[in-house]
Amino acid sequence: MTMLKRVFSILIILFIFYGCEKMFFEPDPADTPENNFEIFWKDFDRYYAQFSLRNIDWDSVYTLYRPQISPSTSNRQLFTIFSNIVLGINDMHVDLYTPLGDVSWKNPYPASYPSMRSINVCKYVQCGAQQNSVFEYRSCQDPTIGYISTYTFSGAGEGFTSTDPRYSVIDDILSQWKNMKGIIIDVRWNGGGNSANAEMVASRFSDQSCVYMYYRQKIGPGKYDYSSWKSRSIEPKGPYQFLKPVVVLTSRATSSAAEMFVMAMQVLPYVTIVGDTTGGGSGNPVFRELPNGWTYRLSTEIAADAHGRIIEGVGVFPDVPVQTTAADSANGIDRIMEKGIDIIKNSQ
Amino acid sequence: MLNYACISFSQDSSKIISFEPQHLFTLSSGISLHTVRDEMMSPLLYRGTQAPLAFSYQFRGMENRHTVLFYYDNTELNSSITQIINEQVVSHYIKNLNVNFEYSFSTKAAVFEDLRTTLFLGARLSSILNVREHYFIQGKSQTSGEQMTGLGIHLLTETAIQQKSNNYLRVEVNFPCISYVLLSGFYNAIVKEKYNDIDPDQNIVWQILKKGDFISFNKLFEMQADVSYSFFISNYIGCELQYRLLYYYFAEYQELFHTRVLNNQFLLGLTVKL
Repeated sequence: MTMLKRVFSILIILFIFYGCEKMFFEPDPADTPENNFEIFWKDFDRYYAQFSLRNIDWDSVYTLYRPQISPSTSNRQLFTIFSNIVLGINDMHVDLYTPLGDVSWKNPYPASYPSMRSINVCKYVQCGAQQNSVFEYRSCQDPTIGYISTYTFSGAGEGFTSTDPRYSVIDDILSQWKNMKGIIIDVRWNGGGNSANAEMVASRFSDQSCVYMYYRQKIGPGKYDYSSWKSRSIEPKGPYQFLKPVVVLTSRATSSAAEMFVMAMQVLPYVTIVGDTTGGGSGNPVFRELPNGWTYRLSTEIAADAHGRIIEGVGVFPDVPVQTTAADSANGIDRIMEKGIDIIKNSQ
Repeated sequence: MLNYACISFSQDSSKIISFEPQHLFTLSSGISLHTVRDEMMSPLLYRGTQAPLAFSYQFRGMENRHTVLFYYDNTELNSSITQIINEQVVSHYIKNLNVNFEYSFSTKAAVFEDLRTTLFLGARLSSILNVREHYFIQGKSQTSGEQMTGLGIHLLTETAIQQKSNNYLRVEVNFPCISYVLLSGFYNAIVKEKYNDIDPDQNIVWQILKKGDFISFNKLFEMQADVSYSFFISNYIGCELQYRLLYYYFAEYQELFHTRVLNNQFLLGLTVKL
């Protein structure tokens, strides 16, 4: 009986101990307008990498908006303030997600652009594309030219940069197209995703290891806590590399990891980038959250191309610029595609 | 600092001073309650409950004690702002994988007859993997976590509760001298300088293993406490009721961000004695 009493005593102590979560943790930060603003502002101050590039004095943002926030500030008022801040940064990788709506700064496209995927591709390529969830691929009307279109580089292991196996279908495509004269890769509507997927596809067109971009990260809370510039390279990978003429089609909608793909392809001697300047944001964004449940995203790095030219807010320039006019779009004429076909046809 | 304490009550047929060597295999499950705050990822506490799986082997010899423990659970953790729509978690939750492996060895160092206590001294190797997949919006997630393997001095006492009784109090304390930590040094979920050069086409696990850090008391505080009560329904089969607490505090990035993990387990086990 004594033993049982001791056991029960111990169990009671344990239950009390278990209840003492407060022994180990401070409570969650309070969901107040002031706290939400302070955390939001401080997170950007710690992590956001592109203030100086975008000529933003972050301290002045605090000075401007903090006095506008009090315990009586409504969610709608707070949303308006945060929206103004997010949109003022002009970065495609800075977003706000709330029950009151989402806020994202979008790189404005020229009015002459056709809406996404509305170009009459059957005019230039054979209809009935083969596809998986990431690629569409088929021959052009000239069957010696292959056409691959991809709208995303998303998928798999973005945290630890592992590739998505769906992209390995590129090996099957290239093994079928060994005898093609050239290939057009259309990333005009590719909004990015996982850079490891972009590198994996680009490596199938690489003949040697080469640096294609440089980047530096915000690595500490101080304003100037940046890593040194580091390089990223591609090298030949996969069972077969296609080393004949390749044209990559780009537009202002080509963004993020898709721009890394363009930079990687641009350093290859038999690749030509045709179209418009890309969106201008590598970002490598991180998600954060606030005590009120709002989520936001911000850029953590700065990227530059192989020549050291920063692309944030600028984009990657094509080797052969081709503009799309409103009349062309209305008439289903794809000047960028036509130029790409011409380049491959005229290649030696 | 790694600090391990285990308190165990037992009511089995063995004698505390002069029993025969025993091999005890125990398979346990029950309820595991997790509380996590990962400052690098979020200022909020995340909590969750799961049925874990634990397997232990104990060798209780005349002079020595060996214990091997394997523990697994995969828990969904929710914060105070996790949104649940139509009984589905749609945002702000963590999928939390916990895998623990422990091995301890100790040998009899002293007997305190007046206190009916035997003191064992030895070493303990413990390995903890805690991976947190942190979901924010519609399938968007970021990963954090840590894996630490600590080696330290191990102290164990077994105290008979009553004269001529098989019941005993078991206390374990462990002070690891050094730990090898993987997946540390992240400034946020994206910026992980040490891991930037990982080649996805090579063996990722091996590459991560090579990038660990040896750290000591200043970066890691860990505490475990076990209380268990065992009874045998035959010479070979028994049951074990166990309460186990694990808490650790780990400096993720310099002294700027910390992970705090609290895990309470209430386990019921089936024990086979050989």
